[in-house]
Amino acid sequence: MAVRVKIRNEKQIVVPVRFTRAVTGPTVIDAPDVDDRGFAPGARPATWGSSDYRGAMVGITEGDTVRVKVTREDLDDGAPLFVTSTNPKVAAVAGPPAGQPLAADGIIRITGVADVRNTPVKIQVRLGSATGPVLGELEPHIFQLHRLRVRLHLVSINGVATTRTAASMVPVFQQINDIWRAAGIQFDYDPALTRNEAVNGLAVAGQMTTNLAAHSFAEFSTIINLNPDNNRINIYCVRLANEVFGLTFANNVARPNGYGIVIADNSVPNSNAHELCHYLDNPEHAHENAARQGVRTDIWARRRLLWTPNPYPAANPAHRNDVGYGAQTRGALISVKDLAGDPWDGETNRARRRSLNPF
Amino acid sequence: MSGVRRFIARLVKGSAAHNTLTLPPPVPVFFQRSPGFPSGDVRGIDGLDFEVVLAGATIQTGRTGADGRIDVRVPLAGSSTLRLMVNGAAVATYEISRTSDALAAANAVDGQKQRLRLLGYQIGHAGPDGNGVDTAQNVEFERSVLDFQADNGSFTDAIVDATMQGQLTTQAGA
Repeated sequence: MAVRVKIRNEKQIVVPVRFTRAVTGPTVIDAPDVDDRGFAPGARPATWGSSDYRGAMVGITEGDTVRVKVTREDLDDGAPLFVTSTNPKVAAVAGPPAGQPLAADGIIRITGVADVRNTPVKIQVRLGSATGPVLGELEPHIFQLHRLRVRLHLVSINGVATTRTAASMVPVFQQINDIWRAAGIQFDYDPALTRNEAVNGLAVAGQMTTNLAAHSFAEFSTIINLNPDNNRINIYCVRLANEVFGLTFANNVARPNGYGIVIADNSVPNSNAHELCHYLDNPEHAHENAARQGVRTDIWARRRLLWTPNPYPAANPAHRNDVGYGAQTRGALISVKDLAGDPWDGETNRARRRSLNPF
Repeated sequence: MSGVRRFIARLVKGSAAHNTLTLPPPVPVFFQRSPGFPSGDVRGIDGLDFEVVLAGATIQTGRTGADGRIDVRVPLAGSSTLRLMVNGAAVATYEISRTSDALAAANAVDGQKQRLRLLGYQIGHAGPDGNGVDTAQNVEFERSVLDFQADNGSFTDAIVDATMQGQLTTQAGA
């Protein structure tokens, strides 16, 4: 079916394709969210080299094969598209097979072959053949896997303990790691190392009580200093928290206030992954401006792992109620791009830098 | 590069005189990998083979250069068909129409959509012309506003404020 173009003002630009996440709904480990925020490349860490690509970015752990979808925004459904890599030694096209056109579902499969410094690569969608004109480009970033050790603490407050168990946290960490896979970071949780902690004298039995508006978080500091392991990320499970699903300071805030994470029993794995993003040097939220005012309510902000709250209340306009992860559910995008207009962008790079020295 | 075929009709059999049909003036259509007019970078889609059909006759053929530009001859208030070709076969078709109507105001949603569409931002295909331009504040519109803000180094909040309205006017026209 023909694409309709109405020319006004005697000129027109047509951009045929776009790259998006291959699935909708909860995070799937081999279908990372694509950082398609804008087409301009934004700032680049020094080790990423320079590139003339214009499009989306996606993170891939070295050795993984992931799915990404090509959408035909202004192109016939039947136009034959072929997918190539500018450097298969860094990122290779695993599907469609070489010489075969893209299937109707638009799904391409990319293998992250090697994390090589200053060697940018482009996945290119071409018209007609593997040597045809390039209609669109995606820049994958291949990350060597960083594995971070975690120590879990099951906390009893005034005699009321968390309902979580060491075993119940195994699938939680699987989902956390699904979210973090695109950033090349894995949290290694060993249930056998789980510790039981008890604290008394807090305000409410079973609850971590805070007053964040008044910068009152003494109970948080008390909890995260219960028998910490200096060689692991310490996560403390509590039955309830009065203001939050979880609380973390960035890992540049020293003890007694930092170096620990508290999660409440009603927090979902996405929320736990969110706290770990804070821990890895991303203290601000996706809805905040440079003055840390919560001004953003748009679909991009809600797609990011550092959006809050989750789930969020009904939005206006209504299309913001589902940003691809389900009704009123925050997304899991850990930003790869570092856009000039976003003061807290480049989350993946910041997290990876901290993951080299995480404890 | 594009070749323009000449249309010649003789007045009567054996006459040396002839009529030359006047083709409509060309309008530049840029095929690009990303929206917006380039600013020192290369965005054009190089090497697209194309043909332009008007009233059933092929009036142009050619291949795009590095800027992805095709000067499409489109009658005012009419339309032409632009086809992208692979090995001589049409694989993608664009119905190109053209209007002399002024752009709507930049502080109105339809005026913002007209400008975003002109610049290549992907606003969907809703609306009476099937090109995404209407007054609905839908998800495609919000995404394109965010794309525009990101590409222009602005704070991305999907709010089309006076600054963005000015940028749209500067880049796409008043």
